[in-house]
Amino acid sequence: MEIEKFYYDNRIVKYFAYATIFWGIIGMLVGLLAALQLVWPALSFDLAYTTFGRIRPVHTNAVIFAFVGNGIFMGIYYSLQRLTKARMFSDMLSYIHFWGWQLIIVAAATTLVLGFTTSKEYAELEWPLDIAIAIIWVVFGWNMMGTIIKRRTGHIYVAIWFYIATFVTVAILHIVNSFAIPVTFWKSYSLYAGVQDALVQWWYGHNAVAFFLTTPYLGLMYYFLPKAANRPIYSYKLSIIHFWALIFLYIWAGPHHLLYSSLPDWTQALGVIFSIMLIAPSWGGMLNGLLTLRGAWDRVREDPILKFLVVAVTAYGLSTFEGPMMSLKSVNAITHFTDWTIAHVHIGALGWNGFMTFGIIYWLIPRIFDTKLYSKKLANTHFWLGTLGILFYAIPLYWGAVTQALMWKEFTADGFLKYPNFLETVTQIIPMYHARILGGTLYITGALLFVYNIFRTVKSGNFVKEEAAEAPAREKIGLKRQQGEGFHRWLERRPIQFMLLALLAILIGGVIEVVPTYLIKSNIPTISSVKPYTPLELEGRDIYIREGCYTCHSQMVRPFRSETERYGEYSKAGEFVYDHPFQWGSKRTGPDLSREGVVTGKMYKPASWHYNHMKDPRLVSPQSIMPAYPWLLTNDLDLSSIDKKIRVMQKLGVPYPEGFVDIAKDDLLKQADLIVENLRNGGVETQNNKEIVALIAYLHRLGADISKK
Amino acid sequence: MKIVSHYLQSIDGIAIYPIITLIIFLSMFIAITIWAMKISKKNIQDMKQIPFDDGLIKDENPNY
Repeated sequence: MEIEKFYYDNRIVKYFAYATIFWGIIGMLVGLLAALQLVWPALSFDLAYTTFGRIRPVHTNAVIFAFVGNGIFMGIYYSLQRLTKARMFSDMLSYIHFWGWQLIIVAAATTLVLGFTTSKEYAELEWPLDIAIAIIWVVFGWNMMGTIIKRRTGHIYVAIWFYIATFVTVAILHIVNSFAIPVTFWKSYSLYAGVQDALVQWWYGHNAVAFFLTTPYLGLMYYFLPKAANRPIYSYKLSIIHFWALIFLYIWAGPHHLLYSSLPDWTQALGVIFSIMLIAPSWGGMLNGLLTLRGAWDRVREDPILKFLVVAVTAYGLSTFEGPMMSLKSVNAITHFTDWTIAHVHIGALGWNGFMTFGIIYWLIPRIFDTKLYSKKLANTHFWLGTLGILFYAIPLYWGAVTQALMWKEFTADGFLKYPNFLETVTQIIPMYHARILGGTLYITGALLFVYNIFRTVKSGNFVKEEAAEAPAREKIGLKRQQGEGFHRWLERRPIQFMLLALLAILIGGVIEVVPTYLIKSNIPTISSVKPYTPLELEGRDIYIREGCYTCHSQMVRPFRSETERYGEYSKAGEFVYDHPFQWGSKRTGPDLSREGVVTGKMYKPASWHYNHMKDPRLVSPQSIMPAYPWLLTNDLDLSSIDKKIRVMQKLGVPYPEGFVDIAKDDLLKQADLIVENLRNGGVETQNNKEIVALIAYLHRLGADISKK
Repeated sequence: MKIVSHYLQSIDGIAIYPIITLIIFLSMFIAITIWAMKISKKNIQDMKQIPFDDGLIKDENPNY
């Protein structure tokens, strides 16, 4: 058989490795800033661009799509070439992919800071960027599938199965969740509303965790862990079961993110059952990783790379155990909306993704630079700083979460809320926020040592841009199944069929989950008193979205006595039918706002209170950790697209009367005058064209409809 | 909440969805497990070794 000589492209691996390191540090620093702002709100600098509501999405997007994203591509471009004994399909596609992705990251960070956001968590980017992401993702998939097709090996190793599943699933999730109608270049309204929007969003949100943060990294684990330990994976059979069980199951487990909100019980129960079943394949994967090191544990003591990988795999086991637990109704009743969620995702991000990435880069950089790691000792120090960082980050937040949840739920002997003032429950856990800052700082310090160590390693080596390899050309054995060849063996040498089958697996799950969603839309009980937002309220709502209020305030009163007592009537599905997009939120750093507009309710605040509160929250609540929004008081309301907004809403099925567009502006000004009057009565002078007026209109509308009889 | 779930439960045939998912998943899981158990030892050994054979030419890449 003819032996072919070829070269692995290490330059693209190096590029992605550098991008991973660069964005990793940026993402972590922005996270640290967000953590500091939660203790010292002055660090929002009274600037729109640097308030928590805009910084937090920058942090989450940077860590997920820039740090982990580039990490995925780095690992795939390195391992895929070697597992297929082929250079990447096209160098040009490789570099379009690389530069396209970096450009998207820069544009994402810029637009998020500027307040261009859809407010759908981890999918905040506006529609032009969504399209760019889809294009670059296809470039990546094309390059990857091309490489697999022209491979010189027969069997496709299990790591690549995970890469293929990642590619197809992320594409589908991204496209389905991003459907929206543009209003302007940087503003769009979600195609879905209320309950349906929430279902689609968390179907996406959950599976983004599964197929962006988990499956590609499992693929990397199945390649880099055996390489670093220099022994094959413990059980290949287990890895096969792990793969299929995981991709079938994950996609079904979305609805558990919305427990106790306005979802039917059976969807919740289904999500919970599948979430619990998810423990089985996840732990199978974790054990497979750990058992690979059997007989090599003495090396784990010496080798910092193995240490990182072991803690990463353990963190994977921890979060995949914790996740299903959190989906149990009784546990979720406590953990949802608290810092538990934040701690949980950081076990995943800092432990699983972070440590896996560090381990891989420590292993990979010396190899492509033909040298040794500059300092093992420094890497060990990094390991310990990182591990302590994770513990100091997560444990205080777990503690704070339970403390706060119990305070929310505590009643006095007379049957009143023991802590009726929400702020009390925040002040109580501020020390835990301090500890979190310490944890984050330790972790980042470790990461900076890592950067230095890698820098010195790079300096000491010679980059091997093209790595020579040779392999026999792949035998041409035709498309048909050979005699004695099992179905899966056959499938493994037919990557396109494999991709289609994986696609089918996730589609079945997706369709079965999405069909009831569509049924829900036509089956939401309409509430006759629920009316579309007025033009002024709509503008106010867009400001609410722009400032990222949903990052700290939920709009979802759960049917618990402790919640109805604190906030008022629990939320009904029919109240959200005009909410494009929904604003339920996922974390309560501040109180729920869904009954803010009920005049007789406990949450109602007069217009002048809101005015002063936005000017500086500490004027009205001295211990508040909310940032100030002084620009809302001075900014003129941008009315240039109100006509377009109404038209888009009409297109989405919001029943504004015919010809409403023509009177929208007048209607807006009329309502604004009323609010200005209202403010004047409260001792505040302002004009009817200020942003604050619109925001107050929106806040005073929240949840008010069903209280009108 | 009861309002919503009550309303949804009244949709005709809604219960079929969770039942379908359960049946598909269980049969798939059983089929894959049986199939995985049946793979021959030799094949498994071959597949396990894939990451260790990347075809590098030793003379041209001295450190390996």
